[in-house]
Amino acid sequence: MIKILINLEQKLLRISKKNRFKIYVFILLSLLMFLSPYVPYANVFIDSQMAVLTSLLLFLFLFRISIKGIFLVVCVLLIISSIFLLLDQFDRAENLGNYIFNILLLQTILFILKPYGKTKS
Amino acid sequence: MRYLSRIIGFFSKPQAVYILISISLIFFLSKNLLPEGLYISGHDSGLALDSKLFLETRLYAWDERINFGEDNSLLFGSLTIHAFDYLSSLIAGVPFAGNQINIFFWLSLIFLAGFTFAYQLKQKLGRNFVYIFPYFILINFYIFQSIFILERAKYSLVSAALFFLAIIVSVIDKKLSIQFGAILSALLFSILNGGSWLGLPLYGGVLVILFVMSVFIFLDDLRNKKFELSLRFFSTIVFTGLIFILINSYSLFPYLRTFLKTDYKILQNTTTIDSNKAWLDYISQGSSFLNIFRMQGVPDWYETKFTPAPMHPFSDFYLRNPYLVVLSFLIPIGAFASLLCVRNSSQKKVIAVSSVIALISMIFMAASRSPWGFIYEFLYNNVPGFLIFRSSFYKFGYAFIIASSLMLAFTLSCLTTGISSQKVFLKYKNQINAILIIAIILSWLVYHQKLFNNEIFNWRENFSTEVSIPQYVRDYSEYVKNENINDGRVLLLPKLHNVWLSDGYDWGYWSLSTIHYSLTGQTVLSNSSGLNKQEREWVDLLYAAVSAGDAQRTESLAQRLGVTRFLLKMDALTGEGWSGGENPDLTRKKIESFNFLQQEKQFDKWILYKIKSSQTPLFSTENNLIELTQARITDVSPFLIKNRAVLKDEAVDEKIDNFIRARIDTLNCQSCVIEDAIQPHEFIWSRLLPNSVLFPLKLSLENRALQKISDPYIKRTFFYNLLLKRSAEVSSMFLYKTHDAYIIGSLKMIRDSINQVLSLSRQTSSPDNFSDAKELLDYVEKIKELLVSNVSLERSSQMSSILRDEISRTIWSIDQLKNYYAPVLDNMEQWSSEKVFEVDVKSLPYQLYLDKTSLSRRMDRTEILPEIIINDESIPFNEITSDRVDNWISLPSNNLKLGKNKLILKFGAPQNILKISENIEIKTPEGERKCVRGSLAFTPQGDTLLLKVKTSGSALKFFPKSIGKDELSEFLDWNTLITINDDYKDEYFVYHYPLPLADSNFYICGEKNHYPVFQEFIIQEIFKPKVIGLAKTAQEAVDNNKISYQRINPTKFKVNNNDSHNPYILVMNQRHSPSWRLKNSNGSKLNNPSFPIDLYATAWIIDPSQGKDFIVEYQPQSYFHFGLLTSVGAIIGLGVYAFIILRKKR
Repeated sequence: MIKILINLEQKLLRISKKNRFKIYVFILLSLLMFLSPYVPYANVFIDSQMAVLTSLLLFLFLFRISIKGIFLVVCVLLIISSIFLLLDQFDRAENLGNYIFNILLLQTILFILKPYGKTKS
Repeated sequence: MRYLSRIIGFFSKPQAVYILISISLIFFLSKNLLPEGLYISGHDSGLALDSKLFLETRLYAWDERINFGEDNSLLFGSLTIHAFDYLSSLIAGVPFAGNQINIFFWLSLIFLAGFTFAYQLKQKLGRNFVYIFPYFILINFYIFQSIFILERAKYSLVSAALFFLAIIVSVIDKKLSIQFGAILSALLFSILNGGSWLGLPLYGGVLVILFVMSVFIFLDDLRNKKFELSLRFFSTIVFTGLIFILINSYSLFPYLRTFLKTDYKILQNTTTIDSNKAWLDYISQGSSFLNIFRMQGVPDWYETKFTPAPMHPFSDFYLRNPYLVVLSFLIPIGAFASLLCVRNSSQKKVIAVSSVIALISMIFMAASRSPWGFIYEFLYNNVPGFLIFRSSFYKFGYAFIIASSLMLAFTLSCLTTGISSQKVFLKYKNQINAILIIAIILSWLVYHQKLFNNEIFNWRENFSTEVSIPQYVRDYSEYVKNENINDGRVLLLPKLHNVWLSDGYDWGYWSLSTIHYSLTGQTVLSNSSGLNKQEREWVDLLYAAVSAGDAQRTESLAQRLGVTRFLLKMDALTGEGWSGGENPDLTRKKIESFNFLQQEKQFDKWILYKIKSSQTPLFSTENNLIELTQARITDVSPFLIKNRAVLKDEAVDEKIDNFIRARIDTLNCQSCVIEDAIQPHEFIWSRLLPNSVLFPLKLSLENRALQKISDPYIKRTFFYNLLLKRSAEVSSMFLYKTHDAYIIGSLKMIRDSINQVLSLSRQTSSPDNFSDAKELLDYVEKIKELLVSNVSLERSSQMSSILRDEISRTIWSIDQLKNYYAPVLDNMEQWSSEKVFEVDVKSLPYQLYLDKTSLSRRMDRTEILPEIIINDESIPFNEITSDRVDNWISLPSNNLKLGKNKLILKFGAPQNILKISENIEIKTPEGERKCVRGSLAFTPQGDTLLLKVKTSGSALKFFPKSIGKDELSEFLDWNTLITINDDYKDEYFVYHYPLPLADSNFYICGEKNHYPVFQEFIIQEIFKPKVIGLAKTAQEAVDNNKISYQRINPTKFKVNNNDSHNPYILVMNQRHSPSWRLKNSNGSKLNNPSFPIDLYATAWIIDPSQGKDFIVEYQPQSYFHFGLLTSVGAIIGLGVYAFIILRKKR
């Protein structure tokens, strides 16, 4: 068990080291996005949902997440939203549904932009 | 047989077997849904109870059967769908359109369309896809939600869209030529056309599909730098459009005039989302993305956003069952997994297009809901005509269903192919494939099991569209047909529900249009929804006369409205049930006491009565008219018994003056407006405050808008709105504690606006103008309240003296503005007892009449008569000696002069009409309460009560409660409750309370558990006396005309008047439309303009020199004939062209 954790940690470290600039850029830009709804004038154009959407977009493009990866995220989110529905947490489930829509939109855009023949999972 | 074997040969053997089995399953499903003897009918399904007769009515541009007639030119396109209805009824051997064959036909059509489309994609998406997709497209909640009304318009477009996609795929794949593809597509959309032009919004889904495909094909060609595909695609679309217009000329030409005259203006008029907010909220209450993903979200499923509608037959099952909730999530997972399954570029193209179609149509289906609702809102607010898509879920839904089903079917097709291609199963590949496909289809059917039960026709408890038509209804229909009863209208009794206006029966039928619309060719009159305002007034008068048992008035009104028969239905829903009308037993008692009626025939629960002395009612002549100044009939009806009325503004023929014998002026109670509650205009939250760098931009935009206004009245309203804007900013700045300098700046701007309003008021309005004074109160009272509250709060001690002074100065400015209207506003109390009227006398003699029923009453229920003051002179008045016309009493009018006069009706001080009867203890959500109970001395006039309360140190609660069995047991719903604070000791708490139900008790409760204590608790009646002025302008002329007419068809009549020697008015007792044209006997058009008479019927002024024989024709019918010729010509031409192409190919 400990070995697995150690391996995982090392793997994460390797990924983090390899992508350190991307991580910094992502954190910085995401912070900016999440602060935007509280900044005068910027809040006219960006609300919290838009901030989440833009950050997601950044994440997917910066880290070159595969369509399969996005689909897995969608599946996990769908499962979570189904749990919310069963617990009568309708508002939460609905909000999650909105995020799923946005992610699927990104997935479709990525799918279209990827050249033919490279979509094999 | 040869053709059959060729068709079967076109498909593979398994496909032929698959189709046969599936069609058989659909047949058994149709039989199961609609057992023998039951038919779909009602709920505005348009499923006729006599499909042949109904089809015949679609051939005419005027439908004379509904009340006073209706334009039908919009509905020619529905000929195809009603032709299917008729054919199905022929095959089924019944006259009813809602039969098993019809339901089987439409379900099969959708299935076959799905199969055809899937078959075209076989090469791209795999063999298994062809078998799975048609079931997904047919069996889903979107299609089955509307099966209870067999919504053929929607089904036709779903099928057409699928066939069209199949054609487009063939054209793109070069299996079909552009010309042939366009001809096929146009024919397809012409036959499966969405019903009529009313079904135009249903093309929303097709538009989304075409838009996405266009963009994809164009971008793909741009990338490849070849535009062959784009050319093929766009050429097909353009040719399809052109041929479609040609083929549909028969429905387009008659509608074009209506469209250009009225509908175009409506479409040009971009509306705002706010005006339809309630409807959009309803329609999108369930359409969250999460629901749409799972192919749910149908508006009818929900009562509120998250609560299933209790009356829906199966929504609760799918929304509450945890297993089904979890299973429903497999749909989006399966659909979007298709993006991972693609193996080649052609698959990728199809799936990419489908995915985008699914997502874009979801945005439209969700309408104004966040987060993408701004797109819909933008289009709604800015694109002319987009408002036709206001029921967006239904209009765009099928594009999503097609795309999502395709993606899901493709994923499952990949999955099944993958499994069956495993080495282990290689030997039994085909069998495994078949088993997996059957398993998928069965699972889909099991999941949708609730759709296969005939409960889906129940749309409300005890109401279903699946009904057994009673024999007496059929007998009645046969009688009308055999006896050829078409002389005059039949009044339907009892009266329909006043709000629902629906026609319902205890055997289950319910519809917003009367049953006769789909049952007979007879003209029926009822208070149904198709009537316009004035027609409704006439019809209500007739029903009121029946209800009052007034035989003379009933007969006179019936004759006037062209009624020759009364049909009493003892099976009609009554007021005891939901949407029930008046009690048929009571109505029967009344009409059986009328001597002018005789029973013609009884059909079990339907009884037909005939007026003994009925005349030819459709055409008549008139020589004497009464001019009205307001388009209201009910109030002045006693003065219209002898003569017909005309609203002069509507009478375009100048010769009308020669026929006017009297004029009725409806006088407005000017002071009454002051008694209405102040309706403060709300502050609109402002994003840009004066401390913003962008604020000067806002001011410059306002200035630019101001410069464009020249009319002083509009300018004044503009300044009032500026006042509201600035005040909203001040309110926000107080809240955000903005620097005083900005607030002071805004206050100065407020004062500037006040000064502008004052100066414009001096130009445009007199100080005793009641409506302008009321407008002022509506605008400034809230602003004053805001300023006063801020200057008197604790904060005022912390604010700078300059700011405090500025606020005080602004309050003073508001008071100065109010001072201008001091004659009205100084003593507002007096207007509850003094009613001021302006009488504009244009000719003498002039007689004033006062409606006695509109007066306030004493506690003994006798009317309180006023003191009459004309031009500041009190006039003695004795009710007993004054003339009467029905409930109108004449007022002394000798003192009236030509020109403007001031009439004041002075009543005594208003009295308290609340009678407190007892102390009572009740249970409320807050526990036991001690209250006093009272009631009103009589049912007051108007729709509002005035509450005036002085408390005695403790707060009070007040609410009415309708008297009934549960009056005391159900105090859970406190919607009508108001709380009166304890600080109204010295001044009155004044409140305008909406008049509750007539049988209500009133409760006044103490806030804690003790009986309420108060100094005064007054309820006053707010009444508006009705006064008219009658000016007799000329002597009445004798009408010697004798008229006869011959009905050619509903749109054409021949009229003869042999005795005409003087000009006369020809009246046609059908709803007025400028499209009714007068021609002389040789068919040449006469230029006599038509005008509405009695505010609804059609009339012309005719000079004897114009002849004795005329033809009256509804013009759109000739456009239909011309359009039909064009359509037939186009179809023949296209047929010949297609034949030549096919021969050349061979």
